[in-house]
Amino acid sequence: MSSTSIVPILIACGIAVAGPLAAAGAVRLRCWRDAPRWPAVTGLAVSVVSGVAVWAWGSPGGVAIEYGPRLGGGAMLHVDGVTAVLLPFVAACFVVVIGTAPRRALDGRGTAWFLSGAAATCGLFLTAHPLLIVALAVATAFPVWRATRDEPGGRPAARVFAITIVASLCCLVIGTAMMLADPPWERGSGWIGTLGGWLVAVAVLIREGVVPFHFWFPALFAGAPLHVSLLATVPQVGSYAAVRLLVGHADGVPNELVTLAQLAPVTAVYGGALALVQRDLRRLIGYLAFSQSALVLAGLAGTLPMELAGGLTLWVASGLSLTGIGIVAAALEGRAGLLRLDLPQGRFWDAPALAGFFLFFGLAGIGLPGTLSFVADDLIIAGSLAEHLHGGILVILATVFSGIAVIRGWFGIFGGPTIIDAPRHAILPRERIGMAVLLPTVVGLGIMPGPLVRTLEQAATTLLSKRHDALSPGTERLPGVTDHEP
Amino acid sequence: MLAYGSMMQAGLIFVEIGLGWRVIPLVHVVSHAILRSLQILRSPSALHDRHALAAALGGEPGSTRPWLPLLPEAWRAALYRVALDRGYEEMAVMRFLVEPFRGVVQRVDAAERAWIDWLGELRLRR
Repeated sequence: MSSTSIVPILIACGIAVAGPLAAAGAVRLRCWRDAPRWPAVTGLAVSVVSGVAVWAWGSPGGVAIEYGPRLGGGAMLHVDGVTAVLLPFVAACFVVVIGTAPRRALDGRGTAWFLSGAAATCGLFLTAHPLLIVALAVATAFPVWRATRDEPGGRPAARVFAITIVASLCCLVIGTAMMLADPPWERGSGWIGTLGGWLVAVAVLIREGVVPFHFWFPALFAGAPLHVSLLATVPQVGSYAAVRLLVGHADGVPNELVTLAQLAPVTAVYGGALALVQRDLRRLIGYLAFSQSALVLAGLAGTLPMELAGGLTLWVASGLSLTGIGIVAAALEGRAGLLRLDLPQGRFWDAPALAGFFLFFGLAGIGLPGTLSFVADDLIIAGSLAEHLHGGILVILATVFSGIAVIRGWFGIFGGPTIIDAPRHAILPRERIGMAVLLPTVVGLGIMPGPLVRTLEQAATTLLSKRHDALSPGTERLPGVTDHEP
Repeated sequence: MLAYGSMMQAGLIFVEIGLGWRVIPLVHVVSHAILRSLQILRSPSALHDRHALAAALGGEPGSTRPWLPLLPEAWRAALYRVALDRGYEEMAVMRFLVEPFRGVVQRVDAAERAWIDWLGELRLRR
């Protein structure tokens, strides 16, 4: 690709980050402070369109595009199949979440923090530069902490989040510095690089909520506004750090990836099992979320392209379904307050449409045929079984537990006696629009997964074949690319 | 009877698939589908015939279990209860698998809640 033809991609990447940032600035203005939804939706919609443009222009034939200074094998701007899929995906999830959030959950300040986090996440998915990854990982965590802290009663959850995420970020900063100083994927590297790789792996474990570092997930879902919890969990920042800092150098950090691959399925089973006994809806979603994110990590840490492609596909599928469940939960809470599961709540009469959506998105996250997760689970299970039997069995067990938990949650919320003369709440137009965007996306990608899976398969193959000391064959160096190796 | 028969055949078909066979499960599926369809289609008229026969004879035709009257009354009642509860299979699964598992997971959940609550209230000493 020539230097002139990269200009539209650079512009699209810039707009994808600038859209939410501009919206964050706008909602702090006096005129939008009381009605932040429209500028937020507009800014994020611009980001979605830019992300789709990056997908269309930026990844033809699996060729990666790099621009700007390079460090540790990663360029400042790095557009490949992973970026091309994840950027529009996260922007779309954010726009649906913010577009359907209950009015009382959106205030100017909280929305501005949300948009800042969204901009940082979009920026993160556009880079492979280690220092930028570290800086943007910090930038994605801070708005979540701040918005949670500002929520009434959210300080304990903010504290749990802060403690765990600060530990994760410290490991990420120190580990990345050590890996850059003594790259473990180069011959003759010493213990410094090895220790750095382990620290980065621990950072990923904490950020992705892998056992025993998982407790921030349920705490955040219980104490933070739901849209902020989704901001923190749907993009899976830790998985992205793993893809760029570990998976791309799989031959240099094999033990770290083996540890991730072994702990992740155990976490998925653990999360699914604990989701079975939860007594309120938010914690149920929290446990389902970290079970799903562990499955993604299990796929990413695999050594077969099929597993890696499955992990990347599940990344998108579970994010979409988690967003769907999250907005249904937010809509239900907007009508009835916090929902408990220990006694049947009988909400079906009140919200039959939401009952259908809850069941659909719940099952869409665990491999419902006709949805994207069916394809993703098939790839991961087949890859895991081919690589090691026990891992495949754990993945199946995790899916079974999550399925039972979803059905139990559905009966807990919507089953039971109903008060027939109670007022009924029709599904709101904004909720209808949100579902109208999300549902066809999940089903459409499930029925026609070809373009998405092909893009991700190419990205997976490139990632696994990547070497530090030479650019991969499909990668094209552009003018302006300079090496800044330590 | 048809339902339990179908369950057994489906199990056998899965075993055959699990053994890596291809032709035998396929033949089994097709032949089972044909036979079971015939039985299901025939069953309403068979019941009707049975009732017509019982009406013509003035009672049920000869018992298919001639040994049953030889058993003591208490045994028959016990066997009836076992059959009615399908061999206590569900109760056994609940008692020995589901309840212990749920108990363990609930204890783990309680420990996690206590840990999260403690962490949430943790303050740095000035």
